[in-house]
Amino acid sequence: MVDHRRQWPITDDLAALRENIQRYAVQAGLTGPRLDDLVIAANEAAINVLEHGGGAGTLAISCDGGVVAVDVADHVGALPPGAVPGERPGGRADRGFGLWLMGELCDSVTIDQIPGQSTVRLFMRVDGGDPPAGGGAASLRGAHWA
Amino acid sequence: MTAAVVMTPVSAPVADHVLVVALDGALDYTNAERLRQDVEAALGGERHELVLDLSLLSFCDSTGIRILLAVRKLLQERNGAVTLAGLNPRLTRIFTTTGLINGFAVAPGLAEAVDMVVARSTPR
Repeated sequence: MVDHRRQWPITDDLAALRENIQRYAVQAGLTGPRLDDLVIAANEAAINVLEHGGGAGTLAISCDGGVVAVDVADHVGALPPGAVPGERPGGRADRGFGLWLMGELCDSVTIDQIPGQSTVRLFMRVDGGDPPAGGGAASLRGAHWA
Repeated sequence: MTAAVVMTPVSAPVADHVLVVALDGALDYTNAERLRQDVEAALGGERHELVLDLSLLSFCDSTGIRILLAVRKLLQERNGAVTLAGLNPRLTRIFTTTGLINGFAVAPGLAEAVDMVVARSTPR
């Protein structure tokens, strides 16, 4: 059981950041496609910081109560809560595409905004690999190419 | 170590209008734009079919997908296409989730991809 929090600066060395996230998430118990999904989503959040969030920030990862949380904070604070699009944005060159993708890949995504800092929070349940009997927690996937 | 992606030309029994290259490494925000320039330079002004062997590509993010879409658009303007081969589960995941897998011809391996391009390009 991993519950200590780890934190790294976001730089253009995304490969090292992905390895750190993957190593932590594996120790926390994530495997298979859900492990891949979290790494992809966290990478997208880091790209947004580099591209739109002032070019610097921090990524913190923790595990509490069977949920892995990845906090990706910039030093600008321009990204407001509720910025995660429910549908795939038409333009693929903007920040919205990455945010939409995070919402598709993770169990939930929230955004906290305080002056000078926006934090994207990604959540992934460790035991979420098997769909529950009721199917209520299964997220809608499979966007279609227009 | 910063992510690196290496593009290597692959010799294949194909016509001159087809470019076959293999990508090795991780295609991400830090190197996608340079790869786009490399691919477009290798395509030159005439080639209109691109086969990408991705079996050694461990990772591709939305920036990488964006440049693959840019190359796809360029080749569509030449009445050609991009064919992807050898996607690992993680690449398949991001291409499927984004819905973008439907924008490319996809083959399990390089040989199948080359067969697809040859079949598509050869008048019958």
